[in-house]
Formats: sequence, structure tokens, C-alpha cells
Amino acid sequence: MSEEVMNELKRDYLYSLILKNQRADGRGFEESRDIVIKTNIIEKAEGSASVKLGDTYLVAGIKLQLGTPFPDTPDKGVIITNLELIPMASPNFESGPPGENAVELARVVDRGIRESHSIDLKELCIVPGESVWLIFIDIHVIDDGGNLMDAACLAAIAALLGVTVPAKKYGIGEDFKLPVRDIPIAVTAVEIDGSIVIDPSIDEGRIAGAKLTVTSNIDGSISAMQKSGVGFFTPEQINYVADVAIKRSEELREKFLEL
Amino acid sequence: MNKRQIIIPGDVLSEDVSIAGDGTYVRDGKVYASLYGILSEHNKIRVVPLSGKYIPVRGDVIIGIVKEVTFSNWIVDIGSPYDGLLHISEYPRRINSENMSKHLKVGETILTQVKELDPMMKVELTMRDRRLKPIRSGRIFELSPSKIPRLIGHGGSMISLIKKETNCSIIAGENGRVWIDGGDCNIDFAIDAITKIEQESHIPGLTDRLSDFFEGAKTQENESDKEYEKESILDEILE
Repeated sequence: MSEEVMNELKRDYLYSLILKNQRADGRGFEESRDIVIKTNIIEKAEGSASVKLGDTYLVAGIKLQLGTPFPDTPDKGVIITNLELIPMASPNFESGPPGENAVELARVVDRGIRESHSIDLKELCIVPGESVWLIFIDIHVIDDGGNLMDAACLAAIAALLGVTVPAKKYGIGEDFKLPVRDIPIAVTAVEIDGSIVIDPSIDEGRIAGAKLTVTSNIDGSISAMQKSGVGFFTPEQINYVADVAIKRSEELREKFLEL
Repeated sequence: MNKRQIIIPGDVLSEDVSIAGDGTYVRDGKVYASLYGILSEHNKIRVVPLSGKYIPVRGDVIIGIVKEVTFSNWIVDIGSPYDGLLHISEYPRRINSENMSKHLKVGETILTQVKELDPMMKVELTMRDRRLKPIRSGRIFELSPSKIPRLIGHGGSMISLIKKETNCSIIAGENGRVWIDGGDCNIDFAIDAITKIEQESHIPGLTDRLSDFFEGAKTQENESDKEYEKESILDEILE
């Protein structure tokens, strides 16, 4: 994937702002951009949501299908997460099979949902070893304005919350709402010149040394973490990011549950 | 000022093929709009787009960012679907091919001009002019290239108003990048003004509103000065 060249003047300007405890869009270091979530926007999907996080815009859709389980987990349903970085979203995205970034994003979204046990895979089993529900989570990035990770996780869980299992269509009883037990929410922070900044914009993401995503659950436990970039975090910084992430995810969840 | 007419692609603009200008196409002896924008009818009939990427035109002074250094060219991002090529011989001074990245590094910003343009959209740039140079201070602000004429104003009236009021030096590239240099607060102020132009450029009477904007900012400044004076008087009394 070709990376757009960062303008040196802009880089210097952003660095100088960080030194002055400021950000280019006037936010505080712990402040995230405005979020707009819309659910059930796609009629043909079992569940769907769009998330706008500042300039970032993406859509998640959920499809359910009957299929055979994996041989090592005959009594469990299957979650398959896929994320598409379409060329329209950014000059850096190319068409073709998913690249490194797309795979990383999809896997972190998947990990958050899977490890929080937000969806009980055992409940998705119909006949052990023969037939289970397959859940396909497909996320399409429409516009990349930075911090795709948080937006993707938010869209995935928002879409899952509205899923109706199409049992009637497959002739195995009445339709029912997919039971969702937890709401994992990801919060991403980046390290720029030793300072920690939450919800990086696209430019901040580009100049950042390291990036850390923390996905936390209702009870304050952490279900997924992902660190990327060539820089590093000190142990204190990791604890700090985790604390902020848990606090922030609680705020988001409050907003969320009203939906 | 007459009301501006919004045009969408496919609108019939005229029956006279000879006046078809930019942003239009001719079919069956009629002129149609090919862009979404505002109708302009001086001499030729044109559609001025409301937004869109920069399409290079010969002679344009633009602001580019070096994205690659090759054997004899710098490849320059000019904010367009097409990349610009700056040949080593177009650098202001004679330099050796081995030293190219010492003079212009990847990521560096330059003020440059479109020298030549072929039908395949190979864009050749030049820096052989006294005005053209690498940009190493100040800030670059990006807006839609279609707003640049509004930022400059009639005969440069708008841009000189901003320059005067903010004490900044401002150079607007045709490709939508604007170079602003001056004190930090002044740059912020200038960017506020430019953002206002970008948002309200389609509403008539822009220059007047911008003058009001600067007036408003001045009175605010005066008021905060007064408050500061009050506070210092209070301090003195308390002491």
C-alpha cells in the first residue's frame, strides 16, 4: 500500500502544537470527535449500522447463514469478520485482496467481540457437528478520516445489537433477536513525541510513533488490545491508556444504550 | 449582483455551440453541463464547479509537496489526480544529480509553476522564476481549488484585505493550497478568515461580510483589553 507523503511543514506544526498541549482541531488530548451512529440502515441485512466519527465514515452489515461448524468446535457458531478498505475512502487504499491494514482492523474488531463473549457461540448451535449459524460481519470504510479502529468496532457492535436471526427463512422456528450480552468498545490512543492522544485524526495517526487500541467491556474488563507502529509505550502510559479507554467506553455505552 | 444559477450535469445550457466553454459538452447541436456548479456567461458559457480536485492548467502557480526523488526528477504531489514532475534543470540553480535530495527532500513543500502539460496529463513543473522557491516556514492550509478565485477576489482585493488585517504573508496556489506565514496567532486568525470565505463563497456580498468579520474581531480584542484593564485596576485597589 502506498503511503501518502506527509508534508514536513504540517508535521512540524502538529509537533509544535503537541508541545503546547494543543491539537490541530482544538480538542483536548482525551477528547474524541463527534460520533453519529445510525442503525438498521440496510433493509436486506439482518443487522446494520453506520458510524460517523469526525470525518471517518463507515458502514457495517451483518448477515446470518446456516452452515457446518468447525470440526474442533462442533457445538459453536461461527463469526467471520471482514473489513474492506475501498479506494474511494482514501488515496492510500488500493483495490484487490485485503491488505495488511484491513486484516489488522478486521482481526481486532473480531477479537473484541469474540473475547468479550458478547455473543454466546453455543446459543448459535442448532445440531451439534452438523448445523450452526454463521455470522458474517462486513465493514466497509466509506471515508477515512483517521482512527478507523474505534469506528469499526463501534459499527460492528451497534449492528450486532439490532440483529434478528432469520430462523423462519430457513424453516427452523420463529425469528428471534440475537442475544448480545456485552458491549465491547474500542478506544485508540497514539503516542506523539511522548504525549498520549486519544482518537487520532488522520494526520495525527500519520505522525504518531505508536498506536494502542484497548477494547473494554461493561464490567470494566479488557477483551482486546492491539499495539502497532514502530514506537513504544512505557508501562505507565499503557495503564493510563487503559484507564482512559475504560472511562471513555462507559461514556459511549451510555449514549449507545439509548439507541 | 445577479442571482447565481446552480447547474447540474445534463442541464441544457444553450443552442449555440460556438460558445461552449469549460465544464460543458456538446451533443446534437446543444450545449449541456458536464459538472455540478454555477453558471457563468461572459463571452463563453461555462460551469464553474462548486468543488472538485485540481486539474492542472499551463502557467498556474501552485504549491506542491515532494513525494519522490528519482534520477533526474522530483515527483511532486500537486493535490490533483495527476502528479507533477520537476526536472533537475528546472531547479533555480545548477545542481548535481547526486545532490538532488539535499536541495529538495521528500516531504518538502515548494512553490512551483506548471510549465508544460501534454494531453496525457503529464505535468511538467518549473521553479525557474524569482517568485518560486521551497517553502520552509509558515503553514499550508488546503481548500477546494474552486474557491481560490473567491479568496483572491477582484484584482486581489480579498487577499490583500486579509493580508492587511492579519499581518500575514499569504500566497494562494491555484491548486487550493494556501501558504500563510506570520506569527502563530496571526496565522490562526488568517485561517479563520479563509475558512469563512470557503464556507460562504457562494453567498453574494462576501467582501462586506469579511470586513464585518475583521471589525468584529477588532472590537472583541478591544473589549478584552478593556476587561484586562478593569482587572488590573481591581488588582491595584485590592492591593
